[in-house]
Amino acid sequence: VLTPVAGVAAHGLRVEQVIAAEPLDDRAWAHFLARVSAQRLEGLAAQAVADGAVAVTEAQATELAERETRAAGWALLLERALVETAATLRGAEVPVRVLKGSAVARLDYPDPALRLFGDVDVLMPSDHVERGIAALVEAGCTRPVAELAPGFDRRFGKGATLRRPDGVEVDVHRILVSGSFGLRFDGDRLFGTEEEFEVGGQVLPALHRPQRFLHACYHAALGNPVPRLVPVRDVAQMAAHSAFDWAAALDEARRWRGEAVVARALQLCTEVLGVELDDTVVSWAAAFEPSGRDRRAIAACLRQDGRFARQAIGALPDVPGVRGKVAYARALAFPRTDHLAGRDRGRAAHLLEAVRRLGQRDAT
Amino acid sequence: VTERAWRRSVTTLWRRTTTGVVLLPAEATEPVRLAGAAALVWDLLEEPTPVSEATELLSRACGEDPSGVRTEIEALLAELRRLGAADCGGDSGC
Repeated sequence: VLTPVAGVAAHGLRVEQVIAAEPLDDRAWAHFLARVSAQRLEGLAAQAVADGAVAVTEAQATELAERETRAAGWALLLERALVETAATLRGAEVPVRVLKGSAVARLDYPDPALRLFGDVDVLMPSDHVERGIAALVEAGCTRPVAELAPGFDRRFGKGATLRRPDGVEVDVHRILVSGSFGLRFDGDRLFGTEEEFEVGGQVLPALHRPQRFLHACYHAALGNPVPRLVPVRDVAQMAAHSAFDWAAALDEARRWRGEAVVARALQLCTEVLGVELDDTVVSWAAAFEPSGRDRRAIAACLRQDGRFARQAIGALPDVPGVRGKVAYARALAFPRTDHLAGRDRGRAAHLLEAVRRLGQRDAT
Repeated sequence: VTERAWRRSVTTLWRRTTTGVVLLPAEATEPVRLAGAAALVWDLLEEPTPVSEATELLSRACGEDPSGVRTEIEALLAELRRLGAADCGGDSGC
């Protein structure tokens, strides 16, 4: 039995359409609305009400419509930020691929209003990351947390979070996920293909469809200890799309050495959203046996405490070359002081915590 | 004289909601909401549309007096033009 919020996240993809046959009482409604907003589901919730899948009182309908309108307005402000970010990077001759957010909303959903988002995400090739970040900083962005060590972003990092003067966060990615799974795949290979979409008259490049599906799987399966509903919906949405090519997606997963992540993401579609995907896909996911190393890498991503440290330590075997491993370990152990300042920590506190985590490592 | 046709500005970002349309014109500082008949006019402006055509379609659909509908459409289009969300392709007025 799905919660009403999970039912909303699955709306339009399940055979069973009714989520709430009677209006929720005031307390349950307040809880529902808070969860809908926290999960950025206002668009799907409003659509579920419009389709008769969620019964509401007149006052509840008005309240939800207000939230839907505000959320849509915020999505537009983010798309403007995306267009400006892309223009800045184009001016600096930095190739980009738009990730998640607007790209998925416009390419994978029947109506972009159904897929809301909270920031701007762009992928850059490794050797353009420093130039890209510098261009965005010159355009007014700030970087709250400095690079871990000189050259870390380009060599090992997932990317960096920048903040525009208007408060919008711009996530610059070099690879698609932190930790072991991110280091198994060369993000630069994602620049061989693209799929374009249009925002405000500007044509922007996104990942190709199978790559977009893989990224959605990584986000859904590894992004949060308790899976967020929109990323899981993205996986189900893409898998249900008429243009979805399972063979191509599986090929891509093998190239990324990420079959275990895809299997987990597909299982979440059923467990969290109750969505029934194509039999071939479901059978593959159910039969897939992850290796011990894959299991540990997934577990490191999903731990509630010390996620970064555990991901970082767990990723060491996937860092290419002995020199690379040494440089990676050194950067983690002795980060720049301005990086620590950005995270509001001193070097001693960083080391103490690192020691504590290493001590815990043996106990788990 | 050929009547000028109105259309959306391509640089205006917009989303449909279940109760209307939300716009963010290029120069606007915050989003604008269109509801009811105004959202229908926005739909019509996907293709170049003269005021007379919009008036005929909307007055027929709503069962309202065409002259009153035309006045409201003209006011809406003027506001959309002021916001930079729509234009009629001419500098000398639409």
